[in-house]
Amino acid sequence: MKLFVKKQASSFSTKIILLTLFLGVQSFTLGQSSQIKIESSFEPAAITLSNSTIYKVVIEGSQNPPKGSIPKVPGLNISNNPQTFRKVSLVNGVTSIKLELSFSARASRQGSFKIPSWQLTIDGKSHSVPAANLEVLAPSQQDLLRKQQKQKADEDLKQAAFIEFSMPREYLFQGETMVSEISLFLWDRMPFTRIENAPIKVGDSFSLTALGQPKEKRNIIKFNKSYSSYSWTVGITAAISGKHVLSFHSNVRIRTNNQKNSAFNSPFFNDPFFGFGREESIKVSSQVREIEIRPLPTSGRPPSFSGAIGTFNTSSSIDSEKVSLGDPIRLTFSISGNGNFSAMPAPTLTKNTDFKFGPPAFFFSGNEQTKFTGTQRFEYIITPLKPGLLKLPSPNFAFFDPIKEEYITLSNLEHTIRVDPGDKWNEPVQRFEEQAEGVQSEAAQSTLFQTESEPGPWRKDFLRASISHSFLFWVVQTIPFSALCLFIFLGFKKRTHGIESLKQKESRMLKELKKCHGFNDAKGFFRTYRALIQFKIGYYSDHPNPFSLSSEELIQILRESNESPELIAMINSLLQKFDDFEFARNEESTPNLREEYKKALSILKRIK
Amino acid sequence: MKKLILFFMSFLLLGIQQEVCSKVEDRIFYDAVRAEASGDLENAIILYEKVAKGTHSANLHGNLANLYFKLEKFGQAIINYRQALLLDPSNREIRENLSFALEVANVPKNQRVFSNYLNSESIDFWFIIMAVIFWTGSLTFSYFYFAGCNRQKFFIPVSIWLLLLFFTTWAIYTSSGSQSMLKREMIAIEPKANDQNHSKLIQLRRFAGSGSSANAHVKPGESLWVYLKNDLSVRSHRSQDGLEWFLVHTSKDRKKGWIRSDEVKKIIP
Repeated sequence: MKLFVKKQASSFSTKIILLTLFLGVQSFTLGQSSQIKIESSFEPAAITLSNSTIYKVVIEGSQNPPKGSIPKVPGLNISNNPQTFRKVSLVNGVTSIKLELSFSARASRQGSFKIPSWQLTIDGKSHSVPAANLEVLAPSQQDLLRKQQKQKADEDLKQAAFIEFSMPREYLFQGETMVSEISLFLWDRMPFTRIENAPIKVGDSFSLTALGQPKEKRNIIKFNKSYSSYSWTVGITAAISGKHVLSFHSNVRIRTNNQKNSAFNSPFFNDPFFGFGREESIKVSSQVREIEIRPLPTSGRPPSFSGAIGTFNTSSSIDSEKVSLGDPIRLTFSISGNGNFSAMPAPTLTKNTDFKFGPPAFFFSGNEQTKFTGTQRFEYIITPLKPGLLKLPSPNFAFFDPIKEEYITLSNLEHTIRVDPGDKWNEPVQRFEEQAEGVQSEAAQSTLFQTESEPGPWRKDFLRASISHSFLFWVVQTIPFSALCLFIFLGFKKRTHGIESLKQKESRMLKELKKCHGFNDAKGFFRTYRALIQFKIGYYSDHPNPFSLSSEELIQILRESNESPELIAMINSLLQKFDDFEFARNEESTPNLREEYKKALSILKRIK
Repeated sequence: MKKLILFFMSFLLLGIQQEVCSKVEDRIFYDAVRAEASGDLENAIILYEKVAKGTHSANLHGNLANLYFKLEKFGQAIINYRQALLLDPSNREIRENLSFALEVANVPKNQRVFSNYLNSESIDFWFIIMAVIFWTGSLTFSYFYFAGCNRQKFFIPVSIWLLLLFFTTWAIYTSSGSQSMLKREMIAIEPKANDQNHSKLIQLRRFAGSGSSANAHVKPGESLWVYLKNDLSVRSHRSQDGLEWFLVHTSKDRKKGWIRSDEVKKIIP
């Protein structure tokens, strides 16, 4: 039985091998010799505008690669990379071989499209491909919805991550450098994991300085959303004149959900942070801006212009104004301001026979990232070739000011240096005893007796005219002198005014006395008379308040001032009489005012 | 009107002339510097001296003094340093050069040269100080006096004011004395008389004549002061051979005698 089964199995495998060999030989021979038939069609033959279709070419009778090109139909885009499918079949004992070429096709407008008949070359023989028709219909409601969703998704993506870059002006001059800030904004609620690459420039007409580490900012509000931004400050240099586009793009990685057909399709596993969500790279782009690059004007271009564009100031200095012949001088030429420092060559020096010039050294201090703002120093080593007062040539520097749109040539003051001929070599004289003493004095002498190259201010005389001989000095003295005179005048006026008021007061009281005498008013007479006595005595004794003096005090003052006893007695009796009249109220005994008046006047005259 | 135009024209011409003159002096000065730089010291001295005849500057006399010093003409060097210092008293370099030259010439340093506050240059300073003190005090006291302040309170401030006035007056007097001394001061340059010993010393003679014996000797660069007559003119004598002689003395009258006019040079010509 086993033997039988073995025999059957071996005969079956033998049959299979023989059949395969037969079919192979048949197909080879048929492929080489059978009639080739070609068909073409669109599948499907009718689509909506938003869908694509397949343009299929089926070649029966050959599987050899064909050669040919599909004719172009306006509004119809057919891909160049077809999918190839080879097929061998046996129908009713007849072997059939096919080659299918599938081209993806998409229409850009609706309507009917026809690919006309075209030629294919197979094994060196030309065959005709029949024409094929495609009907493109208006987009359906579903297509429109899908398109809207896609646009919304794109817009959402644009708002979730985008790039902005600033340009101070909408145009640049050819060769001009401008500082720009490129900012990548990432929405805080999007699960960004990392930035794959810094923004990449798109636009061959511009060159860009290296992007360093970005500046990170958080919680920036834009479109009512909170963003994190990463900014790079760069220098953009315009290279080719004309209107050119410039944009930037970058790639960021984001965590997304798993695909729906994933084996782990559950809310837990799909969580992008804790589950098995996957990372995906998305492209972030900026707006494409068209920037005009203007060529530099040729009119008025100075010969010393070597490509510097910006706003600059220059200065130059030398490290020594006095040198010996052969000693080098360092001439430092500094250019400060804003401009294309990275593209700035060293200014040239006008060659002359007085000096030998070395190549300049470059030193830049400022913003190394953009090389736009700072100071560029060029150091020239210059060696004088002859002694005397020599003028160093000033570096020739001209630049184009993009704001004023004109060329500016800056000229610096020429430096004058004095070149000493230098000491001649003398054989040393062996004077040992002098050498010891001379070391100190020679050292001191080396710093002394240096010749001044400028004469300084000239004067006719060694001694200046004394200030006491100066007219201006005495004119100035009149100012305080006038002030002093004014003080003295005002002081005397004030004092005289006081004296005058005293005299007026005395006169008024005398008038009052006379009036009382005229009206026979004894009380008023004595009161006025007492006040007069108090006023005169008090005034001459410099009493601050003469009217407060009592009779005793008045008599005491008169005694102290060595007045005559007779006068004192007269005043005393008068004061006594007044006191009696005033305080004893003896109205019956009316004094003789005529006599009293005469006596009072004589007494008042004697008080001095 | 014509007079006014003439006045302005003459003023303008004077300015132009001064400008032109100063340019000429500058040019000769630069020529001298170039001559010195090329090693032609004699020519440089001639050019500097040519400028110094008409006008002066501190750098001119400083450079000239340096050249004389290099040629070991210490008398000429010292007088030029002194003149440079008169023109620029604050020039430290010239002061140090003078100090070194005096040391090399072995000439005693005259302290008056280095005195800062009471020298001839400070007389103006003291004048201004005195004027300020005088007027400040006068105005203040007159104001308070007429304002009726107690006169007894004035005693101490007025005393201080008077003391200050006295001090400034003394300073002016001293500075003025320094100035008059400076006007009399001469520097011994170099011996002109025939000396068989070939000495570099300059003779101060007993009598104003070449045949007179020396009373004392001074070194080139040493300061001398000429005696004045009662009418404040210089005591001088013209000998039969036509030479002019001055009666001079050194500092503090240590040495005195007659000296030939070509052996000395006044600091202020």
